[in-house]
Amino acid sequence: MSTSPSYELIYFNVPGLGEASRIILNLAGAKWKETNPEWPAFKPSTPFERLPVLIERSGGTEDFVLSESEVIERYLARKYGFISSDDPKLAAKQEQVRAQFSDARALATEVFHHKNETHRQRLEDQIKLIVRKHEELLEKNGSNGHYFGDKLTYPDIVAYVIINSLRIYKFDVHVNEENAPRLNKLYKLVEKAIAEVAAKKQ
Amino acid sequence: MSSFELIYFPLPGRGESIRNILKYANANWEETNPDWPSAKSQTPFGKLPVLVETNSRGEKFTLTETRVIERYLATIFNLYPRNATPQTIATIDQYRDQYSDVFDLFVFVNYAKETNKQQAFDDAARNLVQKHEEILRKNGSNGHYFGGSITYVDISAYSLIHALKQAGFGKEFSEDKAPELNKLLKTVQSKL
Repeated sequence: MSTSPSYELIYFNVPGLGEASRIILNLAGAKWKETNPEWPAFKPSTPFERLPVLIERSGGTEDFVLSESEVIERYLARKYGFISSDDPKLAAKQEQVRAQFSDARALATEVFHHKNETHRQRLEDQIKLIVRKHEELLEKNGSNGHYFGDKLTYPDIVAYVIINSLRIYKFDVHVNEENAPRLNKLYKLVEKAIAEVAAKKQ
Repeated sequence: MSSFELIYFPLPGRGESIRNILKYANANWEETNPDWPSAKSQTPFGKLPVLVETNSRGEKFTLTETRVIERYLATIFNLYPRNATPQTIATIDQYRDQYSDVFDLFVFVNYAKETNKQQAFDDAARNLVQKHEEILRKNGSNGHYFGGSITYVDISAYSLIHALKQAGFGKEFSEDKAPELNKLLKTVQSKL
């Protein structure tokens, strides 16, 4: 009989590119721990000299090691039912919503982390476009605080993470309650789900 | 049987991998190069590429985001290994995603003219080549990333490297710096 796997997430002690995976693991009730390694000393111990890295240990079989934050997220999201596993079109739609945030996230890193001001306007335009399109998507799904159906799926989690980063960067006016009411409803539902899981652990 | 429409600019860029996957899969497909940016409002999210699939009943399925499109086509055209486990699927997606940072930096330097990113591009490309040469060697130096036949990452890698070389950014992918990758390029080319 195989034991259920345990996970180790190796990343820096920041939300960043690890946060969505952390949330998925927590909401799924998976057995997992986090390692914040010395960097760059730890580089040679990683497959591609980058973080995050996910290690899956299944007792008896070889460890499974995975890199690339979005690939890690998707692997965990599929495993724990946050993405459709039997409908390629639905899965693609869910991944599409998630992918929308990737460009904005990369631009935000440029502007706020690398202090590259030339992209600030483009970032603002992109966020406004995402908000407009996603408020529409959420409305089409019944304004119930979910992108798909009536439960929390992978893109919900990523939207929550991105809104949090925009708040940290103090660049969140376009995603506030007034400009993005349905996204804020989604945000509160994800926040509630995370709080409920955290409360159970205590 | 479905027919496909790829909407993109008339250049390799982020559309080439999708073109080549459709070609390799012998799909019924055509390409549209719209007026840009006037066609923006007609796209779901103001960005290209866009894929429109029309099934035999005339129902349309529209998809955006390059890698989401690639993975969707790989799923329906069996371009993942046969009976692939979730771990194998993730491993292959991982190899594919590695190209994104390099490509994004190329776009910064080549299109946004941010020459201060040239060094970052060179370093990222060199690092990618070093790691991927190893992966290809470990797989048996047979011109494939996984197993003995083409998976979608072979086609994507071929397409992205082709785009870089065509734009004059292929220095780190030369025959002597990247023999295994060049073997992959020839292998994929011969099958398209």
